This record gives sequence, C-alpha cells and structure tokens, in this order.
Amino acid sequence: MYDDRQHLDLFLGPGRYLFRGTLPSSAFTTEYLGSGVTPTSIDPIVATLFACQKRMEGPAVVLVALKSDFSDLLNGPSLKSFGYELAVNLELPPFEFEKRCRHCIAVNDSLAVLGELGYRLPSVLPDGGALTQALTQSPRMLMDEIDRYVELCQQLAEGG
Amino acid sequence: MEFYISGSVNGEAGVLSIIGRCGNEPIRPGAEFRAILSEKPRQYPDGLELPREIERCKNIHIRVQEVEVYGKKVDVLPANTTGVLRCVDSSVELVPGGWILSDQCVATIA
Repeated sequence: MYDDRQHLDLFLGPGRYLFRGTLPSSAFTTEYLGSGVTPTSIDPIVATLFACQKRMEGPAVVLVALKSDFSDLLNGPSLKSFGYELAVNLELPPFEFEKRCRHCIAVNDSLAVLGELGYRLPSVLPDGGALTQALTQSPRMLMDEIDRYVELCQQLAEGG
Repeated sequence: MEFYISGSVNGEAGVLSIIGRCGNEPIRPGAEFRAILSEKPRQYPDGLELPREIERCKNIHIRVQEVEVYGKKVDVLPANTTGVLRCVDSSVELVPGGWILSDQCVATIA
C-alpha cells in the first residue's frame, strides 16, 4: 500500500527544488487540521495542477523551495498508487513550509512559464476528479527543464 | 463529503481499506458513505476545465472506522489529502478505483 523508498529516492535524487501548489496561508479561512506534514513534489507540473484546483477557493500559488533547506525534515511514506505525483513529504506544517520557501509564483504565471516551455495544462480544475485525471494524464518534466522553469519564474518575480 | 478512490483491499476481520484522496470536506472516523459514483471522462487538457457529469450512481453503505495518513492513524483526513480509510459495516466487498464515495446519490446524465 505504501512506497517506503520513493520519497527518499526523490529527495536524494537529482534536482534542487521542491514545489507545492496551494493557497497562501493568509487565504485560508478555516483552522489547519492537518497532520503536520507538508506534501510537495519535485515536479512543477504536479504543483501547478494542485494550484489550478486551489484557485477555485482563492488566489492559488506555486511555492518553490530548495531541497537543501529541508534535509532534516523528510517524512513519508507516500501511497504507492499516487506515485505519479512524485511526492516528497516533509515533517512540518504547510504554513512553516511557506515561510521557508524561496519563491511564491501566482498560478497564472506558473501556467505561462510552463506554456513557454511547451507544456499546456488546464487552467482551472473544478473538482477532485478533474485533478486526478490531470495528474495521471499530464507529462513530467526533465531536470534541466525544471531548472529553466525556476529561472523563468525568478525573472518574472523580479519584473524582467 | 466525497472520497476519490484509487483502490481497495479487503483485509482481516472484515475491515475494508480504501485508498484515495479526500474531496473538499474533511473525513473523520464515524463518517458514513451512502453512495458510489462514476464520472464521465473529460478530455485532457481543456475538457477538464468543464464541470463534471455523473455517469452512474449506486447506493451502498460504508462506515469509516479509522483514518490513516502517511502511515499514521489520525483524527481527521483533511480536504484534498491522500490517505487510507479503514472501513467496517460495508455493504460491498471492494470498491473500484476511479469511482467516488459520497454521502448521497446524485442525479446522473441520461
């Protein structure tokens, strides 16, 4: 049922970044009920799709973090049947993860950057079924494309 | 209350383990599902922006006994989080991946 290896392999494997599609903490209207774990992905497409669902509730964003900032907080495991999410689960609540992120990208900017790199995604996912279908049918990015994605997002954030 | 099913396992002592993702409302032990639904597939990518259409809906009964996230028993499965529901008093032996557990049956397309 669980994959005890995948999150570890993804965390220790190639790639410098972790991504999370969510609402900013300030946009949540209800108390945090979670288990103190923040799921992230090594692929910005996965994070952007989650943000495309979250935008139904508010100003969704993609958070960009450096793996090296979370070396001591690796948690897990992930469920085998969700292996396509390329998830790395961190042992800290989402609002703490947000504070330690390097960049916060508006969902439309993330979609635009992915579009520039040749990935066309649905811009909004109205329900969980649409999210599941998008996650299983979308492609995953190559490592050098992920670096380019972060570079382009950084340029956008700096107004260039 | 909805739960998007990825798969299920019927284990010892009649406990049905259902793996999947919570919908927009959190799920707690004691919650009861009364229906199982399937959606009409939507075209990737643009069709996924459209509202869902329910193709089939069947009445069932399943009661959640325990909730598990990241391998740990928890008091609540937060909205949109993946997890395992350990269920009892089930009117079905297994539930199929791709279907949705719901607290009530909804109107289907013709």
